[in-house]
Amino acid sequence: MLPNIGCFKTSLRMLARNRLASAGLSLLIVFVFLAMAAPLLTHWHILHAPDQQDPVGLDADGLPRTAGGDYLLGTDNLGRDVLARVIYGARVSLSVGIGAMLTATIIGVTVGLLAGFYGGKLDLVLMRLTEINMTIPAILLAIAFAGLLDVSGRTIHLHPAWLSWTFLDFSLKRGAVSVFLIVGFVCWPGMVRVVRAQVLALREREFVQAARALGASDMRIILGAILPNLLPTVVVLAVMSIANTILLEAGLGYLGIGVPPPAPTWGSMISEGQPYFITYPHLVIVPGLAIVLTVLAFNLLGQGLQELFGSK
Amino acid sequence: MPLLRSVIALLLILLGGILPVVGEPAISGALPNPAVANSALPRRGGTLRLALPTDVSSLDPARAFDTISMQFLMLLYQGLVEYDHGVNLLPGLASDWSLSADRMTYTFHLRPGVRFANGRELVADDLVYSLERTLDPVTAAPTESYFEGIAGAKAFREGRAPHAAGLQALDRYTLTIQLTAPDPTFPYVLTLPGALAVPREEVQRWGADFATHPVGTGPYVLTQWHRAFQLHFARNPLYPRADRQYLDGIDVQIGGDTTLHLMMFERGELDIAEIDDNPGIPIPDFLRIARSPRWHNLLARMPVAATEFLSMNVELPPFDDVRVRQAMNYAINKEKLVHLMHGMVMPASGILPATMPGFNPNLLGYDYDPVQARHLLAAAGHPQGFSFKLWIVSPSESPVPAAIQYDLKQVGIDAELKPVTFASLLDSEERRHAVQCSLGAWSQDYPDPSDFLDVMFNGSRITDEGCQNTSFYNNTAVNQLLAEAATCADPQRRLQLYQQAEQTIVIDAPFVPLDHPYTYALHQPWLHGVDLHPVLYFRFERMWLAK
Repeated sequence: MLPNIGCFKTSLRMLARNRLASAGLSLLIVFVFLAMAAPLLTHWHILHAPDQQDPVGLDADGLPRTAGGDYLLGTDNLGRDVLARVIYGARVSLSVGIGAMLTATIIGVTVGLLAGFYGGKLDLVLMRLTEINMTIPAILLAIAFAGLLDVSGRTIHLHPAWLSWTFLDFSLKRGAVSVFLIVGFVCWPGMVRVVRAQVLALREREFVQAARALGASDMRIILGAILPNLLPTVVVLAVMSIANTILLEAGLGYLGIGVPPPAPTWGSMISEGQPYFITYPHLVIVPGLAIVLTVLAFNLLGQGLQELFGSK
Repeated sequence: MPLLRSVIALLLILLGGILPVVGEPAISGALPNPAVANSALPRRGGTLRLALPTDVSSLDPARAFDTISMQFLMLLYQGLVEYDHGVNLLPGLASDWSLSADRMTYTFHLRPGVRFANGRELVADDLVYSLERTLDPVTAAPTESYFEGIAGAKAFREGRAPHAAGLQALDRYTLTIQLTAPDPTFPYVLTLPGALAVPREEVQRWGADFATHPVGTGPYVLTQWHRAFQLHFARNPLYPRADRQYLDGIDVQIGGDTTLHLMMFERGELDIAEIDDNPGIPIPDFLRIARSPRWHNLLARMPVAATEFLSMNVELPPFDDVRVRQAMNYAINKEKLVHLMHGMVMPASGILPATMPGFNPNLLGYDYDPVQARHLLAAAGHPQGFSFKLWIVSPSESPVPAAIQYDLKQVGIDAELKPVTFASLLDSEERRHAVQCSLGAWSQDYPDPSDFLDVMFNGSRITDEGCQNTSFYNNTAVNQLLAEAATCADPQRRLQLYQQAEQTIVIDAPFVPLDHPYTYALHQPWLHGVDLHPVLYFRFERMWLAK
């Protein structure tokens, strides 16, 4: 039907035909653009600086300003621009969300592949570990990990104590990197089961048997034959898991153990605005909406991708 | 019937309503409460409903030393002396007392017939026991250091003597307390929890559980304490004064936060919105309540004899350089803090709050001057600023930490906020070389400048653990002034010495004084007798319900 159009273009066209998915994608493109352009917008004086405590940002009583005027979405209790904070917050939420998703995906796919491909005792050990991990609620585990780190940072030794390989030490401070690692470390088990199930099915397929009969190494089979066939599933799962990682990041920020202040994060904005919910609801509603829309966008996109790959 | 009612009313007045008021001066500091001024006669009955976010730490007077616990200790126990409506001392368990010519020995005569809630009569020996219990290192009483001026306290603490020689029960109702040096503040020290009377037999019976099974001579007894859930106090039938027992009982729910408590209060489920002294009403709701026609007459305000400050450890770099500490003082905009707090605080230039004797209105402090701050930083070798860790108490709704962080950033100083629990902040900052800089507050234990200056800035009091001088500031000149003031007999001269010491400390800048807070009390129209006390805040035993 469409002889000269490449697979990627076909996919894009099919995605564009899926209204929900394209709505999600466009929303994300807007968010990502705003997040990336935020420093430039501030530089050109289109957007306030996110932590600027402007004396005119508060009224004569020291109360926040409501939406309108110089501050499109109002100000918070310190006179900071809510619009600027929510846009800069997107930088944190998106980068941590995507970073955590990549961490979770790498761990999840590796564990799932090994367990599914080799089976036997390795499968038993890996799957039991995964299940143990799943029994602990992600937020509790994340709090425990975050508790290990504080603002001053902690040196992590990647070598046995009796070896003085200090080049393997690295220092982790509470910040965006530590938060995405933490969130990533607690979010991977969801992926393992699906990947393992797929691998179990794939390894019995003829092309895998054929590769094995031709004497291909395990690594070659895994990377060359199984992984490419896993990709559609992994991509869908990964995109949908960003919604989870963003929520978890917001949860940690809300609890005060996410990216430390004054960096604006959606979670911390909600927790700071919560006491003002009755008098100045915009302090909670704006970052709340940002979270809802982003999570929705990733879910819609994920669903769209699922339909796309499912129909292939 | 009307005749009978007036007779009862008259009896009530004679029994208590008027008696304690005679001879008491006007309330110092606290604003008069219009609801009380216009109220009818006190009425007996009803249960006071209160709420607290977290549980009371302890009801053992030797172990509790915070403003929340204090309010409940005053229900259960009595000391030799007690405060009137202001900060003057009245007889408590003692009917009178005298001071010897050398100003070192106090003689107290106890009221006969005072009984503990277990029925036994209180005698002079009980006070010797209670004070020795506070001094005993085994008790680990937080107020212990206030009582070290008692003769023989050191030997007793070190195990070299079975008793503190300065504490003597001459007979059943006569007690002498001998000090090692004259101390004009000692009668105030006797109002601290560590000096409240406890019965030996009950302490020995319950051991560590005495904290949850308290027995004293106060107007109420604890009838129920489900930890982290609920406390209930009921009238003590053995207590003689009706004007301290209007309420049948006091119910304290534990849990929820101050915003939730305010909602419950507005629905009429609590009689007082918040009984924490700081600030007594959630900051975000303050103006809404203060301007509401329904509540603004029921919101009492009192300046607290307290100072909120940024404490810098002068033994740790970069705060070992006085120029850096002065730069910090210049860099922080205190007027902005007042604005952010909607006027719930007053800006501070010195250490002593305005309600404290010895407050110096002419003290030379630091105005907000970021340019000067940058100059001082450059002179100290930090032209690009520096970064440090600022310990703060979490959780907190206060905008102050973020505002300070921003002000410091404007002069190039990066403050990394380190949120910790209150208990862990206290524990860490009182250890030497542990905390670089912290946000804290000090409120008076008694109305004397020594309680601020001697406690927080006397270099000779520095210890490696449990040190109240959290900036570890040690200036020989200040130490000498404080030592001279401590024993000075002339009150005027004494206050001058404290003012001199305060000025020197402010120049040396071991801390940034931020503000002096007001505290607020929001109560229902049917609750009367809610006069905030400058030291003890709420005194539930004096309240009554007209419902």
